[in-house]
Parts: sequence; C-alpha cells; structure tokens
Amino acid sequence: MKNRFLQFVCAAVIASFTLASCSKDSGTTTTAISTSVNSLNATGSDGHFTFYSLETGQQISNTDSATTKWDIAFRSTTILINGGTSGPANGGAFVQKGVTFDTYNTISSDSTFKIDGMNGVARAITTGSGNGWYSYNFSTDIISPIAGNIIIIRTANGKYAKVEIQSYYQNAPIIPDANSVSRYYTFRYVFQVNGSKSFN
Amino acid sequence: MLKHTIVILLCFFSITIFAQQNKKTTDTLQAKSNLDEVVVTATRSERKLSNVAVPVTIINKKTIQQSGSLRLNDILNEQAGLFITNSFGSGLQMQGLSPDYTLILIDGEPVVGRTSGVLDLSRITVANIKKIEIVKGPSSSLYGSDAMAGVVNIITENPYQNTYGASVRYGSLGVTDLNANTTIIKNKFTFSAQGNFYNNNGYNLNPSSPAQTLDPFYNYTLQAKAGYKFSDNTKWTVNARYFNQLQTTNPYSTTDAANNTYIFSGKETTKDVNISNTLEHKFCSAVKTYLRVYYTDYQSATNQSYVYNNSSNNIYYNDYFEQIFTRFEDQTDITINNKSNLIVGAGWIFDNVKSNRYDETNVLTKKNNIGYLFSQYDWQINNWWNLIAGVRYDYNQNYASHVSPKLAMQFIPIKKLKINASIGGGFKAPDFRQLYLNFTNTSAGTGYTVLGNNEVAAGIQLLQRQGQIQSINQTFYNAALQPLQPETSTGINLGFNYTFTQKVNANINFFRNDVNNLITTSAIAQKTNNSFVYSYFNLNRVYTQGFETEIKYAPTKGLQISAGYQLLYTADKHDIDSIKSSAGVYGRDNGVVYRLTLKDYKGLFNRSTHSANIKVYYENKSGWFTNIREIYRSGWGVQDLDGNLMLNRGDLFTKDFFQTNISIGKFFNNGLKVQAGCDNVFNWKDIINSPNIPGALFYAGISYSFTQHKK
Repeated sequence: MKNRFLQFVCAAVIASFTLASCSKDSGTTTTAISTSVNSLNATGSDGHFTFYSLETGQQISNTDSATTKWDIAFRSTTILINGGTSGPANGGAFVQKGVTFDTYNTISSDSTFKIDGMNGVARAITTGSGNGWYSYNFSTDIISPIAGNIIIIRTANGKYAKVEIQSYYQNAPIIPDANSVSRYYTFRYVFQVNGSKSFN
Repeated sequence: MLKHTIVILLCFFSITIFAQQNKKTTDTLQAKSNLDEVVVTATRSERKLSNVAVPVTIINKKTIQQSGSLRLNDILNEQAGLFITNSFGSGLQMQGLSPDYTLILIDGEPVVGRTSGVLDLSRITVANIKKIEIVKGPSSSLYGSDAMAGVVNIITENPYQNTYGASVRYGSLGVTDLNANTTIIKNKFTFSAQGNFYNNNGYNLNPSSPAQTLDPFYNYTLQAKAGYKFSDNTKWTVNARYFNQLQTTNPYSTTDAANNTYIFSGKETTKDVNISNTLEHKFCSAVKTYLRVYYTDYQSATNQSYVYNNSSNNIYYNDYFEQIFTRFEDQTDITINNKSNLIVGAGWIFDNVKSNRYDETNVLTKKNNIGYLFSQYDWQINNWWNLIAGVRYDYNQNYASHVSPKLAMQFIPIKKLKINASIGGGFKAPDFRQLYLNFTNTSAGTGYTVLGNNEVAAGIQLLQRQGQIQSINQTFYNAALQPLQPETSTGINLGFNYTFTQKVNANINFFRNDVNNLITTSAIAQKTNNSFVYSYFNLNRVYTQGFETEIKYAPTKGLQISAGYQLLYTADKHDIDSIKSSAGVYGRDNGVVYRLTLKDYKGLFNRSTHSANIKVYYENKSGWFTNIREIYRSGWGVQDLDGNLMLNRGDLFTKDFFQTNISIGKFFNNGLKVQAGCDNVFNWKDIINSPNIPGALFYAGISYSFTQHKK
C-alpha cells in the first residue's frame, strides 16, 4: 500500500513537472495564454454577479455589466456569458464533458456554442447538479466541480477560451467540509489571443 | 376440545400480549462446543448449528458478558463481516449491504422504527440476552421484507429456574448501567422480569464546536415474560418489553456576524413497546402449531428550539414519528417422516405510521396492510445430503406482491467437512418515507425539499406554480414519476466448514449479493434559491461479494482463540457501465484529472475492503476470566471530491480503524462477579468520520446472581 502510494506521489510529481514545462513552452511559442484565478468572490452578497474578463485577466466592475468588457460572470453556482439575455456581446459557451483540460486542444468545427436565454437554452453553462460544471452532494452539502468537464467559451470579442473550475470554496481546500466558505471560484483557463479555435 | 377453543380465543383477544416459544435450554454458561448449539432463526425451527445449510453466527451470553458489552452495537461490532455505521444511530452493515437491509428481531418478532432506513441498535440492551443469532444471506423466504442481507435475532433468556440477580456498572463518560432480574417458577407457571437503566453523559470531540458531539441521554428497558403450561401439548407465553429514552441537548450559544446571539436547546424522546403472545400446541407428535399475535409501537419526538438575542423562543425542528405494527401469524410444523419436515405459515400485518414528516403542518397517518404465506420443506435425503426449499408470498396493499424463494443444501462428503450452499431471494418494500415524505428544510436558509415518490408530481407542480423551480433534471424527474417498486436481491452463499481436530475448526463462506431496483435519492430539480428538490426512485443495481473466514482454536480447556477476516468488494453496476462507456468517467486525484479505469473505482461508500479480528478468551477453574479482542477495518470511502459522485482514487477515505478491547474479572462461588475493562485501549479516534467513537473507555462493575437449583 505504502509502496503504491510512493509510486503514485512520484508519478504525480513527474507529471506535474512535465505539465508545467509544457504550458510554459506553449506560452512562449504560441499566442495561447494560461491563467489561474484563486478564490474569485462570487458570493453575490449585494445581489450582483462578479464579472470577469478572460482577455485581460481582470475582474470587471458591475457598473460595466452592460458593456462588452466582460466575458464571464459568476454568482453562486450560476455562470453567465456575455451574450443573449445576459449581455450585449455575442458570447457563447458549452460544457465539454469527458476530457482533460490539458489534452483538449482544438474546438471541433461542429461544436455548437449555446447562448444564454436563446433557442430554449436558459443558460449556456447548464445549471443544476450533474448538468454542467458541478455536482451537489446531498449528504455532505458540498458542491464539487465535475472532473473531466470543462467550459468552452466564445468571449465578448469572439475569441475562444477553455476554462476548468477547480474549486467552489474559499482558498480551494482539497477536502471542503461544513466549515468551508462557498461561492469562491478557483479556476484556470487558456485564452487564445489569435482568435483561432486551437489552444496549441 | 373446549379447553383448546378457550385458549385460542384468549389468544386472539389479548392482542396486546405476546408470543414466543418457551424452550427448555441448557445453561449457556457451561462450556459447550459451538457447533452443537441450537439455532432457530435460520429455518424457523430448532436445528443444531452444525446442521444448518446457511451461514449462521451465534453469540452466546457468556461471550456477551465477558466482553463487557452493554448495547447490541457493542457486541456486533466485534464480529467479522459486521460493520456498525454511524449515521442516524448505530446501524448494521452485513455482507456489505446497508442497515436498511437487515431485519432485527427480538425473540422472532421484528423491531420497528427506523430513521432513514437505519434501526438504531443502541436501543437494545444486551442484559438478559440468552444469545444472538445472525443469519447471513437473503432470508425473505421466511421473514419477508427487509431480510435481504440477513437477520439478527436477539433471543432473550427463558425462565427455567428460580433466580434473582442485580448488577451495577460505572465507567468513563458517566456510563452507568444497572440491572435487576428475577425468575419465578411455580408448577406450570413461569415468570421472569428484568429492568435495565443506562445513562451516558455524552461527550464533545471537537472543542471548537459549541454543540456536543453526543448529547447526554439515559434510557430504561423493562421486560417481562410469563408462561403457562396447560398440558404437555399446550403452552402459552407472553413477552412484553418497554423502552424509554430521553436525550437532552446541552444548551449552547452561537453568535452570528451581526453579533446576534442564539441559544440552542432541545430534547428527543424515544419509546418502544413490544408485546407478543404465543400459543403453542402439539396436535400429535407430528404436528405442532404456533399461533402468534404481536404488537409494537415505536415513537420518537424531537423538539429543538433557539432563543434569539435573549428574547423570543423559536422552534426550528419539530419531528414526530410513530409506527404501530400489529401482526397475526400462525406457523405449523409437520413431521412427514423421519427424513422430511414441512413448515407452513400465514400471517397478516397492519402497519401504521403517524408523522409530521409527510405534511408541513399536520400529523398524518399512513397505512399499509401486508398478508403472507410461507412454506419450507426440509428433506434429509441421506446422512450426507440435506436439502431445504422454502418460498414465501407477500401481498402488499401499496405495491406489487412479491415471491421470495430459497434453496439451501448441505453436503457432508467426509466426516470432518461440511459444505453449505444456498441461493435465495430477498426484497425490501419501499418504506413510508420513500413514498410520502414531504419535507422542506427551513433552517439555515438552505431550504431544500425532499418529496416521497407519491408526492413528486403534485409537489413539483405546486413549486412551479409558486415560481420556485429554476430547472428540472428531466431524466431523474421522469424516473421519480414512475411508481416505486420493491428492491429485490439474489444472494448466493457457498461455505465450507472443516474440523481439523477437536481443538481446531475453520470455516469459509463465499458470498455474492445482486441487488436490483435499488431506491436512490437524487436531485430532480433546482429551486430558484439554488437549493434542490430530491426524490426517490428505483435506479441502481449494486453487488456485494467476497468471503468471510474464521478459525477457532482451543488449545487447552478454558482458552479460546479465534481469528476472523472478511474480504469485501462492492460496486454500483451503473458506475461500472459509465466507466466502461466510450464517454468514460473522470476523476481528480490531487488536482490531476484522469480518466477512470475499473482499477481506480473503489465501489460503494462506507465499505471496508478488509476487516479482521482476533479474539482470545481465557478462564480458569478458580473463576478468573480475561479476554482481549482486536478489531481491524481498512479505511472506507466517505466523500466524493471530484464531482463524479462515485468513489474512486483521489476521493476521501478514512484512515484504517483499529480497536483493542480488554476485560478481566472473577466469578465467586456465592454468585458474585466483579469485572473491569477498557474498550479502545489505544484511544483510536477519527473526529470527522467516526464521531461515534469517543476514544478509550474504562469501566468496572459488580453483579450478583442467586440461583435456586432445581431439585
């Protein structure tokens, strides 16, 4: 058992080195930018969403909610994209299930981007446990991002990004418990500057 | 004839009185080979343990007493292959199946009153228990619903000689256990009564939490048994039991961000009445009948409230649940010839529940009637081959009727080896909660709703009209609209028992249980306040499989060493299908997302793959006894961390469980006994996952028993 654990730790360490070096390489040789965001407050305590620009990597004031400055907005488990009934831009999104973030490199040409409030779609990023990016556990009262589900986004400016939500709790504890503070998003994303559907 | 009629009438009219056959037994305190013990639960007739074709464990009085056990969960926790769960009380997991699927009987009659499917074993004192019989594998062919994983039958002491006795015990956490008992035998009349009082001051494992981990409680149990022998052929027994428990929440205060104070307090009362009445009559040497009337009433009431800023008192939880279960049953045993026996039986159950869980404001009564027929044919084909076939038909007012078959065989190819093989069907009818629950949690602003299957359509419609529904999970909602079916199972057991010498015996039993139509709880909709609406529907198919083995070694008189082990694998077949599907399932291990292979999948939550125990019991001629029992369980899965809702590499597992219990004492010739011990000597704790284990517990006690031996 212990041996297995050691092997696993070694493998994980090696893997993380490889991954780290990969993203560095891609960052310098291509125009895709990797960003990590820690504990973005989406408590919505004032009733507002928390707006964020994937392009600039910055939080956007909610007074700019009617502009094309933001790409994605969070409030509790709901995520909006800047388009349709949510914003003035032509943003769209879909939840890509069953992939790993690092190996998902190209948005296939037949992928359909959904738009908030359009064509019978309530939210491009489907709400509800097990439908979109998270599962809710009845017995522990914990929201967990679904491993293997990532969000593919068409930004306000018509560029593309892939987003992986990593935690819904403040400071992203590995094991959230009843004392963890919810509605804090930790996520990473890759934004393609050149407007192509490839993240290489 | 007239006498018989009167007796039968008496039996019918005294519905509130009890029933259990009264057997002459030998003193279990005398040393005896375990295999010669008599078992009644496995076949609903007396059989030697060595002749039973299904896996049975017997725990006798001596073991219970010398182990220093007080409640039923204490002693069951020390058995290989049994696992005491800790949500909604101390439940029993058997052959990897949840507490919902084991039937608990006292003297052959079911104990009712489950919370979330769990029957809290700590309700039952083990004082005055003659023995506990544990039958593993589906037993619905004899016992009907709930006997899917198996049956635990607590057999209380029968009055067989004039005795009286008393005991006192005190230990850590203020655990106080007092007992008194008496037995009177006069010609054809027997009577016994005993009382038990138990107190526990509770404890707090987490000093940063204002609320106690276990709130203080006390309970008492009163039992009486009376028997009258009309003739050698006709006997009547009445058995009554009353249990009452009060648990009080120690008031504690909390302060919110705005500096408002809340002082919480509350209490929970639990009551349980069981009255059973048996008339046993032998028509001739070949035909014997048992007429039984059983009545039980379980009540639990919880009231919790808080005082806000030292002013108003607000009730935030008010729960009432009562189950009244009445059963009429007749069982007739027919000896066809010296090789075959037939048992036929029939019964009718009135099952009523009164609770405020089904309606937000009112206490509603829900009823169910169940009728059943059962039969078992026992054929000793020759001296090395025995075959038992049984079948039971259950009519149920609320759901489809169900047929449960069972076939068991014993082969004895050589004298030292016994091979037992059995296959049986088990079922569990949906309970009242799964059908009628209508509950919205209004505390702490979460506001989730749980709807029983019968309440789904109307409940969702109402919420939609109120504009409370944000989204519906169409797959699960459609599933919840289907009427609930009973959960069904098929269980196979294959056991080998080998006696090496008189001192060494070993057995191994392989098992596999396939459960279909498992009733699952899942979110069917999300409300506009972001909380969820849950309901129950038949969805999952699971299996549990593995083996259980025990070796017993008695090197010298007075010394018994045993070692037990269980290997358990479980899986949800739906999970397996998802992992194998082309889309696959992904998990997260230390932040790294990976695609699951079957190797990464860890089966059902709360199951230990390995569990083992080693027990050494020693006693000598001068009355000294001592024992040490070690219990081990490998860590079990407790929480999904990666949102795939299944248990896999990277999810949260407990650390391995390891507990050592010791006890020492001495019997004196005058009936006095002293005993002291320590449970959990090495102070194993897991505050988060096993809050039911407070750490090392010490105790000491003294008892006195006087027996007037028969002339």
